[in-house]
Amino acid sequence: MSAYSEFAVPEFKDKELLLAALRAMGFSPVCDAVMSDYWNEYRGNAPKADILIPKSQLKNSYDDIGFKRDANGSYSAVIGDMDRRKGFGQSWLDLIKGNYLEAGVIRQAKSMGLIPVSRKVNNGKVTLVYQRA
Amino acid sequence: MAQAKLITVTIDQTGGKGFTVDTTGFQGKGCADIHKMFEGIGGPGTTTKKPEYNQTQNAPLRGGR
Repeated sequence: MSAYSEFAVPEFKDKELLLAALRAMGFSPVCDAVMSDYWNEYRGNAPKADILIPKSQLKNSYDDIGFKRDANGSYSAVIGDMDRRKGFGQSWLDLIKGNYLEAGVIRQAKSMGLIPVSRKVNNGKVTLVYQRA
Repeated sequence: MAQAKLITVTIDQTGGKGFTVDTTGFQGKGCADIHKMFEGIGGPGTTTKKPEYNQTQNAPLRGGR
């Protein structure tokens, strides 16, 4: 058949895809780390993050940014209030979701044996074309 | 010459609108499998079949009595 499907934005459920998305954005995420002392100093009890982007990799941030796995298996971002207001809010998280989706599509296409034809970026949209042998 | 079987995936780079999968050159069940395999990446999806979807399946039968 020829068909057209639309898929909604996923939650961050796949650790490997989340790591791939963060790497695609130029970060070197660390797994299973405690967030920086800033949390201890100002909030108490620095949380342990399943995935962490050190403050040193985040331009103009006050603190590390972490992702913590909840009971449903989804990863939620742990971001300080100040950083949320300084460019690490919803728009930044949406950008990660875009990269997460692309990493997922690439992985899935590879597992299905699809042959990559092209990748284009235009008006905030990434278009990946594959061919089935 | 047979039409190439192409799969075009368009992703909203800001993540806010999910992604779409558009297949061309397919007829029959093989294409349904392609769409189904992409389901695992995103949230719930909707699929619209194109006219050529039933091209093979609805072709008039020949012969018979």
